[in-house]
Amino acid sequence: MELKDFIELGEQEPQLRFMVIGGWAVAAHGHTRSTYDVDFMVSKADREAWRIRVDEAGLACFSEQEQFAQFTQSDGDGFDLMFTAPETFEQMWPLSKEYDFNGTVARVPCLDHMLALKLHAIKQALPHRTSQDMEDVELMIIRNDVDLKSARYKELFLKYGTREIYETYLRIL
Amino acid sequence: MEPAKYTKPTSESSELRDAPLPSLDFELPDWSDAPRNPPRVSIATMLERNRQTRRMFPTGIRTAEERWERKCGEEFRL
Repeated sequence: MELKDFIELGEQEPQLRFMVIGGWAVAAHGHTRSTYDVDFMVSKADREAWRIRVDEAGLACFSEQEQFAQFTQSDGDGFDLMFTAPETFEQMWPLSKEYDFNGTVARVPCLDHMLALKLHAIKQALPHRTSQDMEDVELMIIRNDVDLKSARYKELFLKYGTREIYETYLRIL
Repeated sequence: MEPAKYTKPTSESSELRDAPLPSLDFELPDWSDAPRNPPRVSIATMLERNRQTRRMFPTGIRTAEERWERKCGEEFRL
């Protein structure tokens, strides 16, 4: 299974809402790069329905905790579900954008929410991913002509990231 | 037996390792006007390149364990 197959999983009746996040959503916002897994953000309210659907698709659950479930298959992309609080999902959903992933349409978070997600990850300084997240943010800023000095983006960076992260981008961009 | 994931040091590489350190006064080029934008490709091309890389370098793709290590511990909330 690859991206379009996972999107079709969500489209089966009854439809389950999801937003594509991770590398494919970064691509939708202008920065195409290699990625070998597919990440969906879903509401915690739909957790059980998603688990059943993924199980029925034949994917093996590698690990699971409150916020994530990670699935594997013998050949093909990994598949991750990020479970988010229903109130956060409902705030993000109306602002999300439809994007055509080579003939298969799915929703991705709006640019500001994508930046917030990435900054949230960078703030935690996780090993092995900070450099990629930093590049993703840098390229999304450049490709979308984001005015980092504006009050809106300063507030966003300070809320989801840190002052150090914000000042780093001010310096390099 | 699992194949080695790195090259075993040889007497030649030991020579490199033991060589005296160079001066830190580099004559570096001015890259201030270097393009900052990597190439942007279509989603179709991105899909195909990912498939190619997966075929050509299957052991270079992150393992399930490595992917799991990258998960954020703190929940994202707006």
